[in-house]
Parts: sequence; C-alpha cells; structure tokens
Amino acid sequence: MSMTRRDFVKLSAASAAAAVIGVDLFSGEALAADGTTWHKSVCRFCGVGCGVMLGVKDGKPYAIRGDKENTINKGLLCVKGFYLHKVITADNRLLHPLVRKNGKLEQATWDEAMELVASKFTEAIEQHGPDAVAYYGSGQAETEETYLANKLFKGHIGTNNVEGNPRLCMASAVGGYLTSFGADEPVGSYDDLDHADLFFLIGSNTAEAHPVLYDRLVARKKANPATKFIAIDPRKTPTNKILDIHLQVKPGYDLAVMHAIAKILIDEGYTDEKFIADTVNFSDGQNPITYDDYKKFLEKYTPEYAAKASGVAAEDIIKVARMYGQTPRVVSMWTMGVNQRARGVWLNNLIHNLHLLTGKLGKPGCDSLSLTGQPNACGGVREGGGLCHLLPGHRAVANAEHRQEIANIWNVPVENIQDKPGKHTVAMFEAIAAGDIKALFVLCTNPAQSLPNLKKYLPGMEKCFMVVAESFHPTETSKIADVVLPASFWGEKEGVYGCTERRSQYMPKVLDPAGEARWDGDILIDLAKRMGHGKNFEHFKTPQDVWDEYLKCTAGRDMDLTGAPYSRLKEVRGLRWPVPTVDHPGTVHRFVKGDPLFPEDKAQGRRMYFYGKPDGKAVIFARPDKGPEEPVDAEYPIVLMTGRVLEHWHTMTMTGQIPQLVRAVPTPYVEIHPDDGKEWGIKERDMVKVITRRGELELEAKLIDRPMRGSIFIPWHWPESLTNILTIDAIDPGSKEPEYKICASRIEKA
Amino acid sequence: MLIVSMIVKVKSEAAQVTLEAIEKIENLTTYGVHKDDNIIVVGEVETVDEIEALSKKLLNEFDAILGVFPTYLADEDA
Repeated sequence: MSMTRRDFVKLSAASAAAAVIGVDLFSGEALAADGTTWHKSVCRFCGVGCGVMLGVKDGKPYAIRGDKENTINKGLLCVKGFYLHKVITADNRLLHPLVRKNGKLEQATWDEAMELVASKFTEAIEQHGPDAVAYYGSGQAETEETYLANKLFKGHIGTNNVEGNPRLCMASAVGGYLTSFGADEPVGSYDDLDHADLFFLIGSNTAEAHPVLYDRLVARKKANPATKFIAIDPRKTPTNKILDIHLQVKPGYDLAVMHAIAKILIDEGYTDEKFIADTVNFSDGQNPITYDDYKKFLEKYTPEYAAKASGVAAEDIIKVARMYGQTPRVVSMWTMGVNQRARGVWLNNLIHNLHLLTGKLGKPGCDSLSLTGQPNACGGVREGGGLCHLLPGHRAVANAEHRQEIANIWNVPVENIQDKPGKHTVAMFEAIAAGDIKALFVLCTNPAQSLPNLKKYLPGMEKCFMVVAESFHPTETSKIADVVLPASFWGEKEGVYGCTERRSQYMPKVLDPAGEARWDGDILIDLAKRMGHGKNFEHFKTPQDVWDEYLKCTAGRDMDLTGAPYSRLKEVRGLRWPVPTVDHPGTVHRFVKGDPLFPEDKAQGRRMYFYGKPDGKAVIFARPDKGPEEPVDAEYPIVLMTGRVLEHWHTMTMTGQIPQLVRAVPTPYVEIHPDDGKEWGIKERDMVKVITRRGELELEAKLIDRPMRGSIFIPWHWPESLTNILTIDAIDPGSKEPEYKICASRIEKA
Repeated sequence: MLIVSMIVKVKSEAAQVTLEAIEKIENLTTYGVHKDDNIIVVGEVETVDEIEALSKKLLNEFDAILGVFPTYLADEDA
C-alpha cells in the first residue's frame, strides 16, 4: 500500500510521541528519512534546559521535536518550545541595521551603524569617564556573548556598569544561596525530582511556568503514589491539580509561615541534630547567634501567629510542618513569587533553613532548588559574571585576587577593573534617567517593557544614546533606540546555555542568519575593535574561541567547566559542573562525597562540607518577618499581583509572533475573584481600570477563582498594555531585585 | 498544513474517558492510552488554532488532564 506524504508525516508525528514514552507504536516499522536533518539543541525559552531537535530541510527550519535522549525533558516540550522553529522565520525578524535619523529609525549599513555606536560610546567616555556608559544584557544571551560584553566593559572600557535582566528575576535566589550555603546555584539537580517523596512549592506556578518539570513531578507521583505536594502561593493555579495542601497566603505574608514551620520542626523533634551540629551556623543577619538564640527567636512564630499574619489556618501550617518533618526526602522549588520580593533573599534563606534544620539536602530526593526563568541566566550571567558586582567564574569585583586572576586572562592591567560594583539595574536606569549614564548597550532584552515603575525610566531611555542588539523589531526598547542591530537568532548561531541544574549545553548553528543579522558576539568584538581594544579581541574567530577562554576563568572554581569543551558538549546532553576534567561525568550533588571539590580532609567525617564558607558550615538565618513594601490601605485597598501564563514568555518578543499563541490568550486581562466581582459590580469581560500610585491601565475583567479575595492578578506579557507602569520599583536591599509581585491598587469600571 | 503530535497526561483512572472525549474532536487522531496515563494525539490541520484551543481547554477545564505536551510539529508549508 502506498503511503502519501501526509500519512508519512502523521506516522512520524505519532512515532515521535510514542518514542517519548517508550512505546513502539508501529511494531518497529521503520520510517524512511524524508530529507529532514535533525540537530540537537536546547530550548530558547525558560531555564529548564529542555533538549530540542531542530529539523532543517532545504536550508530552512522545518520541524521541531523534543529530544528524547535529553534526560531533562525526555522528549517532552511545552507549548512555547513547540513553536521555536517558527519564531526563527517570524515576520518581525530584524534584517538590517537601523539608525535614527531625524527622529526616525532608517536602514543603514553595518559600517555606518557600528561607527556611530563606537564614536558615541568613545565620546561619552572621553567627556564623562567610563561610568558614563553601561551594558544591559540578558539571561537569554549565550555565555560567550555575556563573556565578551563583560570583557569589553569591565576589562577594557573600565566600568562595572554591566547588568542583565536576571537581576529582575533571580538575583534574590543568588543572594539566598550565597548567604545560606556560601556558593551560588543549587546543591542538587533535577535527578532529585525522581526520588523525592514531598515537593514543597512556594511562589511557583510550576504547571504553567515550568511545565516539563511539572510533568516530572506528575511522573514521580505515578512511580510513588505516596508522593505529596504542598504549595504556598497567594493564587490558585493549574498546579493546584496535584496539590495535597495549598496554603493560600495573603500576598507578601509568607515569611511568618516559614518561621512557624521551622518552629514546629524543632518543637516536635523533626530536626537532624547531628547534621545541625556538624554543618550549620546560625546568624541574625548581622552577627552569629547560637542555636538556642534561634529557638528563642522562633518563639513568637507559633502557628497561630503565622496564621494571623498570613491568613491561612494554623492547623494547615501544622499539617504542612509535620508532612515536611515526617517525609524523608523533600525537594523545595520556587521562582518569582519568592524572588521578586522586597525581602526575596530572606525568603530564600527561610526555604534553605528548613532543609538545613532537617538535613534534607545533599542526598537523593532532597534539594532546595530555585527554578530559573531564562535559559542562560545561570550559565551566562550568574556563572559568567554578567552583573555589576561579579566577574566570570563566580568571582566578585570587590575581591582583589579575583580581579587579578581575571585581568591576567583578559590581558589587561588589573587597574582596568574597578574594585567597586557598578550600578545595579534599577540604579543604572535611575542614572540613565538622571542623565549620568549617556550611552547604553542593550543586548537581547527589552527593558522598556520589563522594568518596574516604567514611567519613571522611559524618558531617560529615550534621551540617552541607546543601542539595541536584537533579533526582532519593533520591541518597546528597539522602538526608542538610536541604533538597532540585527542579531542572529537561535539556530543561526552556536554557543552554550547553562540551565537551572548547573548543566551547560551546546547549541549548534545550522541555519544562515536572517538578512544581514550577525552573531551578537561578532557585534561586540567589532565594537571592541572600533573602540581601540582590538588587541585582546582579535583572536576570537569563532564562538568556540570565546568559550575556550571562558573555560580558563572557571578552572579551579566551584563551577569548574574545564572538562566541558565544545568537542565534548557537542556529543553529550550537557554537563553539570563542577566538571574539572574531560573524563569527569559531572556532579549531581555538591558539597558531598562525589563532588570533586569535596575536601575530605577538612570535612573530617561530616556528610556535607559547604566549601564556600570558611568553616564549611551553612547558615540558618533568623530573619524577621516582613510584609510587602507597599501594603494595601484605604486609598489602594487591593493587592495587585503580576505573573505569567503558559502561552507567553516575558515581553512576547518571541511568542507574540506566533499567531496561534496570540490567539490562545489574545488580550491582556485582570483576574478578579468572582465574589469580589459581585461586590465591586464588575462582570466577566467588563473593561476595568486598575490604578496604582504609579499609573493606570484599562483591562478586560476575568472573573475566576484564582486570586484570593482582595487581590487581583495581571499577566504582564502584552506590550500594548504595559503592566509595569503599575508595579513598584522598591528593591530587596540585598539582591536589588524589584518587588514586581506585590503592590497596592484600586479598581474601577472603565 | 501542520502536523502535530502531543502526549496528553491524564489521571490514570480517567484515561479511557478522556481518550473518548478527545476522539470526538474533529481533525484529531488518537493512538490509544499507553502506560496507564499517556494518550497519544496527532492533529492534521491548516492552522493549530484547534490544537491550541484543545490544549487550553484540556488544561484549564478538565481535572483529569494533568498536562498537554507537544512532541513534534512539522510545517509542511515551510
């Protein structure tokens, strides 16, 4: 029987699905090749790090499927990853450089555009010093790209005004890991998801924001039906389908709950006292304290106190604490609901506290795992040092030894690298608004939509000389830029992404760039040369050259990637650092035996040794509970929360180009509890006005039992409806991450 | 024309009922329940609006559906 082309593709599609779940659907029937060449890569969207296979036919992107060999997603994708190959050919791909002339962006040659950029940056530096310029990068940039930007700006221009959008999403997680464990990034890995008996989710809508990991939780439940799920979240979400207990806390009042859980764990004897004695110090955030001091600190955090503060039932808090205490293997997972808070670092500390009190860390099925929002925030920005206080390889600009080590690799005098942090993101855009920063290079991100309290910052961005290297145009940022440079997109360039679980994965270049687009790294090298710094950049002929130099920065560090050259990364589905040699398999758990950096001599029999701390001990913090920066009051009585939906990602630069995704969730809306809708006289699909102290927005009302009464929720993706004109730019004093998640608002019918 | 495949993850006790519900949807072909809780679905459509609508509907409205995971998409017009 002959098979039509359509039949053939259908069988291929069904086979691909079957293969993912280990089923041979057609009894071994072999499907002939159809001229499609499949290339192993990594998803371009969130930080999970899913393996994808990009199918190319006749030099064009043709198909996409999950990579079943990749142990992260085992062939599954979420709806966003599904459309990756269509984003490559989206209508809004920028094909030529644009330069603003007489107020309008007009097509220009590369030479004209780059000369203008180089001359404007040089002029700003000559007239006002190196801190008059800045770089604002992205957790979506490749590690190689962030490395080049860092080298140019910190090492050659001589400014630490180097930031990236991870400041807005995961800086608090960095602060939590550093202060609690002495080193950034998780102790464990996704492997722990397959062994845990209890998942403690806090501030994470895993089902929508990280669907593939959510599937692993579902799979764990199937493998072990006794597996339990707890969530602390002010909003009901699709994740609720798998929950055993949902503590629906008042937005911003969960710190007291975490303390109450800790108190119950201690009071009822669920702690691992040997682990605590061996491995833990205590601190009030300023000074060391004793275990007894900590117990005294916790005295006031009774379940009743926490219940009153948070609005959840005391008995539910007790139930959660007992489940936590009684279950041997616990994985905590969190994301923006914890990080985008004015006390995000503290809340991260409190999550780690529970693992340290119970010793549920550093062994299979136990981890305190921060989920990441962007595909290379961990790899490029955290590990690559793409923030104002960092240098590559988990180093700090304030550390003289670190500066010297990097200066040696960069071949620059150490004096080139300033010894003080530059301006963090909010401070950077404040300086731009004040006119102190004259020229800004934005790479692969969209701050004119993603910054909080936008109205405060947009005029400054319009006034400053702003360059945007982007694959897409227009974005809210490229629209107001002076120069827009077309950048190669995923599939059109090679490089490395590092995901949530410390895994670095290689992405190949399998397509020609669209139009005149160039690799961002090439653009930065070009700029370096035009600004007179060519000597230390001209040896970079390929991304691999950049990666090889970056690997020198990682040698001997806690995130050692020496054993992960391109040649190896091309063959494997990523490697989890530390991976110090090319024959090392990578590290599943840090700070324990099996971690190549575990110092057995110093550990002296201890199960864990936190080698980022001077005495190898992690820290349990007694942090006060603190509510949101802008609590509700009589004038603004409703809590406004912001967040995400499954179909869209960040500022919709990519997902907004996929008609199917746009149609799935076509318009911005505000979620209102049905009972509140009744009380406020608002019906489904009514147009309403949401007002905060910073701005107002008209949106369609969606009455749904997801936000708790007295709170509303707005997904922040749509550029035509800038949610961030409403949000507050108060920042966490430690991480400098803004409190996007919570502010006070009022609502009225439009 | 787009050809899509996806795995619909369901609560195992409701797998058969869900399979029957999906089978009724035009332009979709199902390939059975596998390993208790996986339904293989292939769609053959001009646009993926229908798939999107289904995905959304299943995720948000059916308690038995735990996840809808695309596994393959080929764009025959590419």
